[in-house]
Amino acid sequence: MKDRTVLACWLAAVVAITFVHDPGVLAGLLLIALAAQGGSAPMIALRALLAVALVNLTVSIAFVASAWLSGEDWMLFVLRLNLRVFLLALLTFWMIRHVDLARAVAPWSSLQFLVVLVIGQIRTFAALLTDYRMAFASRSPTRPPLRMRFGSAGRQAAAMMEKAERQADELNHGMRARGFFDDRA
Amino acid sequence: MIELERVSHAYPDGARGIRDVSFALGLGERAVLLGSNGCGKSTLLKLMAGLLLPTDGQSRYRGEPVTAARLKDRDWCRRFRGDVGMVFQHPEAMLFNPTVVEEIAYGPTRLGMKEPIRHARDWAERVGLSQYLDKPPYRLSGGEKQRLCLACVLACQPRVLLLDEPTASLDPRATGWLVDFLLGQKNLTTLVSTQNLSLAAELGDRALILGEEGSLIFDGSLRRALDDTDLLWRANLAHRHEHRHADGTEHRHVHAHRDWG
Amino acid sequence: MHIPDGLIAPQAYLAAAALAVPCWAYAVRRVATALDERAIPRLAVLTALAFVLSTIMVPLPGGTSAHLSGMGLLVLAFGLWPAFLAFSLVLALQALLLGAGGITALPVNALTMGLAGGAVVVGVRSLLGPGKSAWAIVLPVSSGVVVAAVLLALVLGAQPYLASDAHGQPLFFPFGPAVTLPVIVLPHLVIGLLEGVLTWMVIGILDSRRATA
Repeated sequence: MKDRTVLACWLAAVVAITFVHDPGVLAGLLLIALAAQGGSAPMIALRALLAVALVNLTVSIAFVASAWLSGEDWMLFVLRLNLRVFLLALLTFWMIRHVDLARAVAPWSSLQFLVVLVIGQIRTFAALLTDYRMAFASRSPTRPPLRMRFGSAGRQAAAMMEKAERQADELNHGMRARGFFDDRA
Repeated sequence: MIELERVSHAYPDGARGIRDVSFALGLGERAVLLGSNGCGKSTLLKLMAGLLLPTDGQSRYRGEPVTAARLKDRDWCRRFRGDVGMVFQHPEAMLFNPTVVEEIAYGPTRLGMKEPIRHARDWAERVGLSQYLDKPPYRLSGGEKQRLCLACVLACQPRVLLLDEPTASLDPRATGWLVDFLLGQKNLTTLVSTQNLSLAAELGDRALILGEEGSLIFDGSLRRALDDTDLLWRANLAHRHEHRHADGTEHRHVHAHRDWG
Repeated sequence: MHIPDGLIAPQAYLAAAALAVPCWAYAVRRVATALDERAIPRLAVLTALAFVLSTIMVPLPGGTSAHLSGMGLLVLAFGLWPAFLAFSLVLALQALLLGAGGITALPVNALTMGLAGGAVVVGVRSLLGPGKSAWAIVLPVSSGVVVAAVLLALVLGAQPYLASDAHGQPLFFPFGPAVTLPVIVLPHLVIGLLEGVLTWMVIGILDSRRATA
């Protein structure tokens, strides 16, 4: 219940903030959000900054350049953009820290099973992909040519596809063995 | 309990699983399914668990044929799934609940058992996972997942337990734990598939050996099987060493690793 | 593309969400009907596959690299609707678990890259026939990537016209299609080609493994 509530509040906040355009209000909301996070504010703020820095910098610099060339004011836009995007990222990373997604979707049991399964399966695939990458690196004393690196990416993708076929069947059997499908029409 | 009569299984792409296998497992029997990689051990276990259906022959549970129609009968299927539990070689295939306690409680809840959460906590304690009750199963280590799968299946109080290469990814300590744990279960028919002859002697009294082409080439005393070097060689469960001595003579002997601790 | 929250106006993302929801509902129905009880495990594996495929780095000339989207591969291997659903779930998980990509950008990305891009793959493929020659795979996949990029560029480029303040200053993403189209589409011409070639390679590898199995 708590996870669902937090997720819903976060979503409502994200939508609401996209209707706020006054940089003063956005700055105030940002300060409130930082204060509410207490001791974890620096860490969450850093994560949020890293997530949006490249996009924000690129867009801001490009806008400043084009505004300067056309003699327009750029300060308001740059402030608004950066405050809003950073605030939304901050709220998102706060939400990620506090919400267990599987719990949040508990009322929809099929979705919950799906989320749990996906997260588990991602770990399995990611481990295999890491093995492939490391194996390729271990067999390449010098940086391989582009063609070989490209081929390696292809083989990684093919390995994932093959694994997916086997995993899907195995998962189907495993869930069936535990009676998962018996009560579902 | 479970009976296979001339059961064969071929996969849709034509690949042969097993061929013409017949045997019966009685109440409380402890048997070991031996065979090399790819001979059909997993296929056989899945046939016994009703997850695959034979392309030829018949599989029966307590005298009743296990058919597609029978498995569509919800009540019968629920009883069957509760009675016949299978632990997969790769535990990820069996885990789909958000926390360890919910994972173990899933089966008992479905079967209408009283106090499934308390039951689940008991089983978590028995398999040494009580400190992880609220953890998501995907965060457990390989050995912990294996123990969790065991708890999930045993919490349903099955009559038959099928284990597919349960020690394949376990370290020696975890393997020892598993062997001791299984030995402690009473009145449970078990069939454990393994390539590890050293363990086989600890896990059962009866051996079922699949040959490389998927047919049953031995059904009898495990001791007798482990002493039959030719049989083990035929089943690709033993290897040959060639030794050349200083005097130039050579000899070969078939070597099966079957000493346990 | 991972577009953070705050760059797309509510007029755009709410409209996209209104369009996306019935598409998702339809996709769920199609997948559930086609796969019956196997839908959940199959979709779970497909989503995980899509997630991990999107982490595969495709090396580019010059020492850089780009992420594989995998959408073309998924569509060709599993069909449009399962691929669209899996791709949408990946976007949701990336936003809700990793903070990669904004939740408001999700319906836009799902519709452009997932549905429109996927539909182009299917459409071009059906025009070329079922063969597995290089062009029969490279062209549909590349086309899908490029069309998705064009649509995304148009959506982003529309932001200044959809939402601006009293002084005419943009409230969200500030550049029009004259900027977004070349900036986004031109690199995706190369990325699309590479993704098409990679997809063709992968299908070839899988086919040869099946033939020798």
